[in-house]
Amino acid sequence: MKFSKELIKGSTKNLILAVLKDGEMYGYQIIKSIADQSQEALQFGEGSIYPALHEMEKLGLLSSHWVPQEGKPDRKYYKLTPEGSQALAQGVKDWREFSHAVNHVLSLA
Amino acid sequence: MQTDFDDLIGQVVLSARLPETASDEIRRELESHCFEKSHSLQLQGKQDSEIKEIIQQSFGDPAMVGNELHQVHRKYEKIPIIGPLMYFRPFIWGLILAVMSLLAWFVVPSVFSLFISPQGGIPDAFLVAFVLVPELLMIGQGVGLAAGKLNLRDSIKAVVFASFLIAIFCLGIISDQKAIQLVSQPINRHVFYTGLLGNSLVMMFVIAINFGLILLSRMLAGRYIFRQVDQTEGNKFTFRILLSSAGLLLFAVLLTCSVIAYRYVANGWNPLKTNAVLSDITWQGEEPIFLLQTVFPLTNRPSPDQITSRLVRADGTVLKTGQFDMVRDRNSAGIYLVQQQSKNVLLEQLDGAKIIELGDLPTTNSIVGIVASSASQQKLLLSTFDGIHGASHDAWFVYDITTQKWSQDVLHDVPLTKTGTTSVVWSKTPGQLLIGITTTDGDADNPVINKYLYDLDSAKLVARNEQTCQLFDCRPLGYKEIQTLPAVNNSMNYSIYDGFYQDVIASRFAIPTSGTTLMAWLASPYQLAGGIQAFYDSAMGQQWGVGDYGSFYFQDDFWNVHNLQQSSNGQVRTILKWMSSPGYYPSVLSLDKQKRLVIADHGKAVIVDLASGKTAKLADLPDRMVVNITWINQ
Repeated sequence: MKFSKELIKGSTKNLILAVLKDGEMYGYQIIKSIADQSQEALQFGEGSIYPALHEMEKLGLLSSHWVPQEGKPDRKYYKLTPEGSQALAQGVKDWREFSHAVNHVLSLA
Repeated sequence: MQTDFDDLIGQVVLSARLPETASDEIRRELESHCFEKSHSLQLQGKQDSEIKEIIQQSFGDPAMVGNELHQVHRKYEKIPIIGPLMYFRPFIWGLILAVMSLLAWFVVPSVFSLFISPQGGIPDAFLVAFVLVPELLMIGQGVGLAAGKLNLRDSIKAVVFASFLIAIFCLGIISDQKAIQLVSQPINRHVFYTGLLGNSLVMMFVIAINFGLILLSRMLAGRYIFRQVDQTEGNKFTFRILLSSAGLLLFAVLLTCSVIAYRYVANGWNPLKTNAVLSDITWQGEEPIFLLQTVFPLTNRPSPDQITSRLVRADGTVLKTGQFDMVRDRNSAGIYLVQQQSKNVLLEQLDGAKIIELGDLPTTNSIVGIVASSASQQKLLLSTFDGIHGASHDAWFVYDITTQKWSQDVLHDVPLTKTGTTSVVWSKTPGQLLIGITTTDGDADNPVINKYLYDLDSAKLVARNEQTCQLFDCRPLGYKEIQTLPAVNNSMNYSIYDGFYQDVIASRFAIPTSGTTLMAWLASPYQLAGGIQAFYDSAMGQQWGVGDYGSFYFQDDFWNVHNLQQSSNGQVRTILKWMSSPGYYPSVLSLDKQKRLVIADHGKAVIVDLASGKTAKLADLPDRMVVNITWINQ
């Protein structure tokens, strides 16, 4: 099952923060992690994750650093900042309240 | 396969339109992404052709991704402080130093003008130093940068940019010197006398020009050198420079106004009080009398009512103040003070013993000199000038003291010409004039000179082109334009050619000799700045001159060295050298009967004993009107 881009886009920030909770990752790894953990249900247009990552970094939710790789291109790893962790907690809370509200409305249908 | 990734990544980076560093980072990140994805697909057994297609599909529209990146970076862009400064560090320091130097450049002349040399004039060494120092420091910055702190590419940019600035400053030097030269030229010389005002305006102009050039260079550099630097950052940077420049200009304007205001207050609201020009010297026995004049409003050919004159002794004692000029009776050697209000003319002898009211002069011209009185002392021949042209062609008038009437038809037998040069001197015979009329007919090297001897009392010609009237051309210092017209019995006349105006000024300098006395003529500071100044020793057969060799004007040399030279038997010997500020020339020369030469250079009068060649300070004239003169000992 795949969701529409618009639906995923609204959750992109929370998804990224969530997968980075367990440790730093590089861009492709984040995409793959989200796809794996959602059992392939959540698949980004892969290019669109980079504007999101850059924006979150600009907002101070993430920090990044380059890690040299032997025989292949260097990787840029992202990790949560304390602000990112707080944003994740708030995001989870908001999402739960939001989904609860949505579920409540939908259950009446 | 790598080429395919490059296309994809290239489209993203191109659409992102970001600065070079940000673009590089995105490129690396996307290369890493494509590599990882490609590697992952290879492990899944995908073929290269499939991999390419899968990556392109999964990546999405690269232009859209690039646009999103662009918006993100724009949205969260912070005004960078450190980054651009790394690029522009040499520029920043260069700019700071340049601003400081320009301020100093402005302030120092002001200080000079106010406290040291009110007539203006700042040694060229200062100008050069204040420009060269920041330039050298800028080079140092660029070299130091190149030595280590930044990478080679940025260092090269910095050095190129610093070099560009240096070139701009070199242009600045040229423009500055030209501007100073302009102000210093004789035609504006009285403007230059005001010193500070002229300097200030020039400095402001120069500052504006320099900053305009700096801004232009910054924009060009931003476009062609720092091409990849974010344009918005560059624009902000340029805007800051623009604001700084505007602030500096405002500061310069305020400083100028305040200094001018100070000058007005300090001088009793008379801006020209300190700008008196030493116009003439005469002698009362052993004591020199100086005529100081100020002109207001500033004009190149002031009328009498625009001139305020003072007669002062060497000790500063003021003998007379008012609107008058000093003229000479070439016959009696008497000195008259001419007061002229409109057409009404009053002649007063220097000692006040005799006052002649001439009534209405039949012209609006100004009297510029009394050529002579007649043998009977009842007629005066006066030359006038119309305030526009030189004095030589202007009208001659005779005033009959007995009848108190003017005569305009004087010299009616002499074919006065408007196209040639008329020289009038007083001959040895009392009341007779020697009139030389020089015409060139287009051949400047072979002038035709007609000579007339004219009796003023009888108003008739008594000789024409006779041997006693023979002229010769002495050309003492190589200035072919100098012509002397020695006449009978040691009477002589100089036709003085002003090298700057390229015109002959003769009548004002018509001087008779008397026996063995060395003769000097008096130069008008308004007419002869930069011209030729010479005098003649009829008894010794020597010609003397003060030429401006190596001067500001003629050889475009910034060092203003004057030479007093003696020409005798074809040999030219330098008697005295002195150096004054650019644009200044000795305004007055005079000899006393002891053959002591007075050279007055805008307020500093020095007496030179021609026999021994020794100099001595004669007077520091009042009102701080002194240009520092450095005497070069022989």
